[in-house]
Amino acid sequence: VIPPVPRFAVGEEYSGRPKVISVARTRAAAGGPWDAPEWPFKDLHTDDEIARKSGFPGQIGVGSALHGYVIQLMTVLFGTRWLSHGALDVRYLRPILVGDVVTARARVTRRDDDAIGLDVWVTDQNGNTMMAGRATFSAGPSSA
Amino acid sequence: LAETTTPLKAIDALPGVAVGDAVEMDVTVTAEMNEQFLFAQEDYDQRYLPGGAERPIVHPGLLVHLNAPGFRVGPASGWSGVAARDAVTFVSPAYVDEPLKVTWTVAEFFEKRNRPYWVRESLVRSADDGRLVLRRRLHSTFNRIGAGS
Repeated sequence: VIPPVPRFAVGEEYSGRPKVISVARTRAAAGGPWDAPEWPFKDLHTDDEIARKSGFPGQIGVGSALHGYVIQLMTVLFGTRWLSHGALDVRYLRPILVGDVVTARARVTRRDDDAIGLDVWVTDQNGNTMMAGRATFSAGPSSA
Repeated sequence: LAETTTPLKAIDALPGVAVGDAVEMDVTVTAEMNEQFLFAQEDYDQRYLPGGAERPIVHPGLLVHLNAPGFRVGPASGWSGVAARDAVTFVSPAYVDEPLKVTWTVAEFFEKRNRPYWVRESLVRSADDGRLVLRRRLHSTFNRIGAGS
């Protein structure tokens, strides 16, 4: 649960709302524009057969969705200022599968005059870490 | 310990693609595109919605997704691509209906643990005033379809 007024003390943890990786939302993310005549584009995110031939048990979720869940958590914590003061560096560790329930999480690791540093990660319903990395919120604008 | 990587000049999954190749595309995120992504992410914050903000902001995840693997260059037949590492710096918001210039450049090919990787660097700028919106460095790898992961 995100505290209403985060203090960003080192060690403090935050989490987003759990998200279900559904077929409809995965197709919305990976299938191309809804009004495209060939929608949804076929790939391992939208087609079970392609996913299985690629070695996965079925359609996999979109990695950028996990990225988006962390971004959502960051914008809840830092507001719109995240869009001009934020940075993320993450690694995708395991494929997410349609039907998984994932949660974005963050822990403050550094706080000084210039920036707040956080470890960020996304877990599935079994506690597996699907994506992990670091986020930085800078006091000044992100360098152009 | 640092992992050993071997630089590659080309990779089988991307025939005809070379380090240094660059592409620029024009993208304008409409309210419909933004709302499709808000549905995908279950993120309906007012800052992204007409009526909720004086000038709705493009969801930053969608800005990142504009450069996603397969958006412009897909792997060769018989391969599928998977994102591996993603570093993004958000520099300024982009707005719905604002023309954007998205560029990406193939920065590197390498092999690690017998898997091919490619690295792309991309920039999103406003076409109106040239301001930088975000900077991204994306590592992707490939699976051979039918060979397992």
